[in-house]
Amino acid sequence: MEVVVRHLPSPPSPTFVLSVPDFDSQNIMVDDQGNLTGIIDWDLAQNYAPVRKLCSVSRMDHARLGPAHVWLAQVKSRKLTRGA
Amino acid sequence: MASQTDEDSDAETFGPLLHIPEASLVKLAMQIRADVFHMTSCSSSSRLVDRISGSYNLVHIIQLDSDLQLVIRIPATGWGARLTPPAAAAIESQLATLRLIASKTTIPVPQVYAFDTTTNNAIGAPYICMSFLPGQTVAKTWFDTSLPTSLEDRQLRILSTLARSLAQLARFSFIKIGSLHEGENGNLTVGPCYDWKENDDDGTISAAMSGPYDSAAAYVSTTTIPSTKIKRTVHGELQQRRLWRW
Repeated sequence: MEVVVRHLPSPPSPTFVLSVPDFDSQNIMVDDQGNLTGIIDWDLAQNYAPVRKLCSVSRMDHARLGPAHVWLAQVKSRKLTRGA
Repeated sequence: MASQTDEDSDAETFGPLLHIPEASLVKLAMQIRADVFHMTSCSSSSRLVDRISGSYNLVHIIQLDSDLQLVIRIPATGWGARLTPPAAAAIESQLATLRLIASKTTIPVPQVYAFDTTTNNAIGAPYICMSFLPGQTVAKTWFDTSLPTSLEDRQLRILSTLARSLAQLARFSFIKIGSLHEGENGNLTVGPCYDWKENDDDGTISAAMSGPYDSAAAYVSTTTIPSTKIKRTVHGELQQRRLWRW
């Protein structure tokens, strides 16, 4: 644990970001096409270092949705951002 | 405990909140409808459509008219000795966060119509009343082959619309780690973080408060758990799991 704390980023003027507190497939609503219609659970919302959310994406619903790296790779391969 | 049924565990978590009569919930919803929508006509078909017990909230869906559904969320901290100032502050902070997101982004979040952090109301419990958002959960739609759309297209659309929405959170940056608090003048400040704390002995849940913190290191040192002293908090446990994945 001490090692982790020592290696946390500590820029001279740190900035923290707001994120979805319980980033879970049960809290994200979509229509039949898959368009986002709502994010519903904002209990305990707080801001934190951006790196934390990368970690939470990597754990998001591993069991229910399949390995995150597979669908992140899918997104990357389809170059979704190009159409955004 | 493994032998415990869901009902026992719900009773432990929510106590008397599980027995709030449908009539009280409908009455509250109708009061809110009158205040917010200025609709006072009495619909005889008003009813409680669903009561969902989550880990930390009881969520009620009330049908008021053919086209108006309201959601009433009651936190597990809403009864007995759990009704503490941090429990109330956690509700207010959530509202400040939702207001900010609704006013400065296009991220679809529930609209808050009314709230009360006290028990002086028709249901005798703190609550947040919000709009009912359409759609199905990603948990249901991700692998659902009965829908007319192709699975792959749907999954990619979920990810792309979600990413486009969440990228907007980058508009806000803060110099401290904490939760948002709205002052009387409407200014937002970063105050303490909140967490649910579960008591191992009797299963009760209370709201805990700590921070705000100036650095990620200060946050992690305070809120994560040395393996010798496991503290049962939601963020704490998740945090530990996340740390192991780094």
